[in-house]
Amino acid sequence: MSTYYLDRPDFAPMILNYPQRPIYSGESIALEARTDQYTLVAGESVDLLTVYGIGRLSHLVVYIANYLSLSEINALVIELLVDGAKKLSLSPWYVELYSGLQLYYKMQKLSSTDWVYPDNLTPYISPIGVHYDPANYKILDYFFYVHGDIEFTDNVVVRVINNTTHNVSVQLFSIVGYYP
Amino acid sequence: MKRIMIVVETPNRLSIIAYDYDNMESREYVIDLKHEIDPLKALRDIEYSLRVKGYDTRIISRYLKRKEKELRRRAKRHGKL
Repeated sequence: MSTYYLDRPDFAPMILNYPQRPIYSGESIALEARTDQYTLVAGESVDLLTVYGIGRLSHLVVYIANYLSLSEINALVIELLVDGAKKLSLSPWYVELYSGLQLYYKMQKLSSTDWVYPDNLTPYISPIGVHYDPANYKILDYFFYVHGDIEFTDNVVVRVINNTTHNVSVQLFSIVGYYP
Repeated sequence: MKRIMIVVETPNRLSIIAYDYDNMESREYVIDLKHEIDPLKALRDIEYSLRVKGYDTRIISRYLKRKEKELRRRAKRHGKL
């Protein structure tokens, strides 16, 4: 809590607050919270990234790697739990829907194994790129991001649920903004 | 002002990021959960060393309390405690 004394405009505003709670504007510091590449066996559900503290998750990049078909990669679920409550549940299919099925359209046009990138990135949820093998209809690598200030006062959990019948390896990168 | 910022838990490691506002200096401690025999003890040691250095370690102590409760609950379920 802070008290602003603005009744004397001839003085600069004086700010009083409790000790150890500085005045901040926006984020005081940006921190990186990152996981190693983790392989989930079929049917496994793992809290891949848990951040304890006070702050906001501003950017989350998800990397999925395996030799998966479209229906299999869509069975993978990424959940976001903020302070113990589930706030977001995503699969690559929803990521595609939010971005206007840009990548899936481009993937159909591909003639050999290559990377495909979307023409424009949507501001909140967007795919970044996919490594696709059109001969066997398999996805080798898939990147997408979730952007937005998700505030948490106790913890934030990114849970990955592997509903496929294969092992899938997932890696997460995130920027967590801290403010007191 | 010295504070613990966050505790980041992943399946393989536990990292604690602390920040000293006065010196604009950050510290990161990493506990390898795969190879550490007693991770909670290692975390308690880190908490102690940071508290001695003048850091605000409330986030770690809250985390420790939660994990100890979880362990106790798990032990109770199997009739150990």
